[in-house]
Amino acid sequence: MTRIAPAVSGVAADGDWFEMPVPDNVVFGEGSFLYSSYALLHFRSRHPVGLRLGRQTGVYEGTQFCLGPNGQVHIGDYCTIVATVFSTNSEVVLGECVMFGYGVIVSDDPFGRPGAADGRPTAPIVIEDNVWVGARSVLLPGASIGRDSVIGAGSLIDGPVPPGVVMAGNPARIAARLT
Amino acid sequence: MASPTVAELNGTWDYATLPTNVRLGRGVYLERRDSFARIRSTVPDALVLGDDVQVLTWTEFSIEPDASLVVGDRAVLVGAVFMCAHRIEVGPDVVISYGVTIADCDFHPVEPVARRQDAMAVVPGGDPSQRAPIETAPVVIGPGVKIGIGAIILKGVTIGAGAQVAPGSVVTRSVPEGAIVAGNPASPAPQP
Repeated sequence: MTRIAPAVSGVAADGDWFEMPVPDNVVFGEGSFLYSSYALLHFRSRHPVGLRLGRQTGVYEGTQFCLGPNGQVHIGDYCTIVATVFSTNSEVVLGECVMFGYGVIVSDDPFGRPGAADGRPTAPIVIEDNVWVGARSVLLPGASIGRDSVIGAGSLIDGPVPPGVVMAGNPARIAARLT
Repeated sequence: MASPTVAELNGTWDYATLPTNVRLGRGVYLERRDSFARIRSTVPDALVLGDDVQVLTWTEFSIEPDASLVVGDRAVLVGAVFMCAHRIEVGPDVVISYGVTIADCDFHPVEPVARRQDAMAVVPGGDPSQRAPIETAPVVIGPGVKIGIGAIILKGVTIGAGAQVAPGSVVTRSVPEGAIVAGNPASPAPQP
C-alpha cells in the first residue's frame, strides 16, 4: 500500500491509494508522515486548524481522525501514532515525543461515534511531552496525562495522571513511579 | 487480497452484491464492504439489518454456517466485531461504539483433552469433523442500549432496554433494563 510522504495540505498526495484530497485545515509539519488520506474518512472539522501534525511526526496505518465541526487534534513534534482513533468534537492536544500503541481510542464520549456533529463541548484531552500510551487504552474527556508518564495497555483514563508515573487498569491506578 | 477501492470504503459500493441471505432495510449505510466478508451462514436470513441502520468501517460480521444475526432499526454499529455461532439480536436505536466485541460462543472447549482435540482439528490440514461440540447461548441487546468503547459482551447475555455498558467493561451476566454496568467482570456502577 502506497503511503503519503511527505504529506501536503490541500492536495491528493501522489500515490495515495485513497484518492481524497487532504482538507486545507490539516497542517503538516516538516518531515511528518500520514499513511493515507483514508485517515480523514470521517474528518468533518471546520476549525481553522482541525488537525496539526508537528515536525517529524508519523501517523501510521489504521489511524482515523473522526472529528466533528468543532473538533481539533493538535499533535506535537516527534510523535508516533499507530492505529489510533481520535473521535471528538472538542480539543485533543499531544505534546512532543508522544507514542501511542495499537488500538488506542481517544474519544469525547464514552459511547463515541463519528458524525456526532451535535456533540457538546467536553473537557480537552491533554497529553504532555514524552508520554507513552499502551495498546488498546481508552482516553476520555478530562484525561490529562503529565509528562514522562506511561499508560499501561488496556487502561481507561478519564482524569488527571501525574507526571512520571506508570498508570494502568480499569479503573486506572498508579502502578509505579518513574521519577 | 487486492486493496479495497475508495467506493468499498466510503459506503458508495453496490449493496446488491451482498449475498442474498443478507437482508437490508431502507436507508441503510454500509461503509466498508469487507465488514461483510466473513458471513459463512447459509440460512435464509443470515443477517437482517433494519431501516436506517449504520454499519461503520470498524465493524465485522463473522457469522458461522447455521447462525443468524438481526439488527433493529436505526442502530449505529461503529466498531462492533460480532462472533456469531448461533444467534445475536441487536435491538432498535442501539449504539455500539469503537472496539466492541460481541460473541455468543466461546468457540473452544475449556476442558484440556477436548480443547487439545479441537486445537488439532482447526489447524491447517486438520479435520474439522473432529471439532468438539461447542456450546452457544444467544446474545440479546435490548432497545436503546448503549455499549461503550472497547466493551466485550459474552455468550448468553441479555442487556435490558436502555441499559448502558461503560467503556472497557467485560459483560458476562445479563444486565437489567436501564442499568449501568462497568468493570471486568461488569457489575452495577454507582449511579451518577
